[in-house]
Amino acid sequence: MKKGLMILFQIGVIIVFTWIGKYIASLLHVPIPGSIIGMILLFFGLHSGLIKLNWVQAGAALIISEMMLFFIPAVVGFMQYSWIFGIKGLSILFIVVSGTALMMIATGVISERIQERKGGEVRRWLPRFFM
Amino acid sequence: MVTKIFYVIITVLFYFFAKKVNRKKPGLLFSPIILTPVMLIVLLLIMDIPYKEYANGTYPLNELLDVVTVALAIPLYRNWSFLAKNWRVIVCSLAAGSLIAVVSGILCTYLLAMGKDYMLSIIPRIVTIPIAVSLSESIGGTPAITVLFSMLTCFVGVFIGPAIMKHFSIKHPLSIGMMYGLGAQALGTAKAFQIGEKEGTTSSVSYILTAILTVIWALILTPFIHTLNV
Repeated sequence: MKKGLMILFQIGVIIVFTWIGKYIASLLHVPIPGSIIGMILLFFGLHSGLIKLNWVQAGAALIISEMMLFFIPAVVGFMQYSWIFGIKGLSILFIVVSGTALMMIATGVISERIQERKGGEVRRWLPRFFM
Repeated sequence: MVTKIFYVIITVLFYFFAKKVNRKKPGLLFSPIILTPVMLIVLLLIMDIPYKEYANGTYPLNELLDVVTVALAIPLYRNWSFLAKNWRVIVCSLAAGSLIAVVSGILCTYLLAMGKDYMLSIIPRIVTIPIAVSLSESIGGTPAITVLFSMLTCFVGVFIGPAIMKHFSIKHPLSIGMMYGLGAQALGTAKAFQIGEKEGTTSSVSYILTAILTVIWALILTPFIHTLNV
């Protein structure tokens, strides 16, 4: 029971940061979501020591591990696009699958090769920039 | 008011039910992110409830998505030195990945002759949805199409992730995190946290960085699209 309350309190602290972030975003008129601003603020709060890690840690761990739940309403929104099961939907699916595969492979392979070379003999193959 | 709470409760219940099913039947089709929406869509169709009403009712869950984004500051703080040490690798890989994403999107829509509207709307698809909507507007695309592309991309990214990791033997936490962050943004981050904290944090940093990089590529490339005659 006590632990549950503590987690609720910790989530409350994070919610306060979300509100502050959104408020700042509404003042700034820039296309940066308030949640990103809130995240940056909380990060600096932790970094500077104003916020202690164990004030927020357990609450954050809980909501991060159940993150999928919060996506569900958005995914249910697919029911609005029933035409996706038609011909146009197929070409869209083709574009998305091929493009996503390509970019993920590129990112993963580039990073992986750099990691390998960092540790291996071939280090001099790369400019110093990567070291 | 009562029905609004009903939508939230039913979503949460279905979600935990789907998680339970997934523990017994591990597999793509039984993952909570597929099973729960499918059950909900069936329910909404049977009860003849329009999506708008459901979306209004589950608004609190959507709000919590923002709270989760803020909560990502905690793993970010804990893994900061790991990320700072590797910032060059991160920036290089993501710059390449996002450029490929933008170019492949433009090329595919061009080759399939889907029109300028789709060409512009597909560009922000690897940008996290709230930013993607404003980017789509500012380059002259249609936000609704962009949102559809973004969501599909997230989905596809999460599902092809394991196969890519296997076939291209991608093992480093940094590479895995970036792949999920670039390909599937927040949804990919959820998946990456299931693999490990380093992967998850890298993924969350990646999707923010990808957003910034894609905005830059988009601003460079859209003038060319506007000059095309399609």
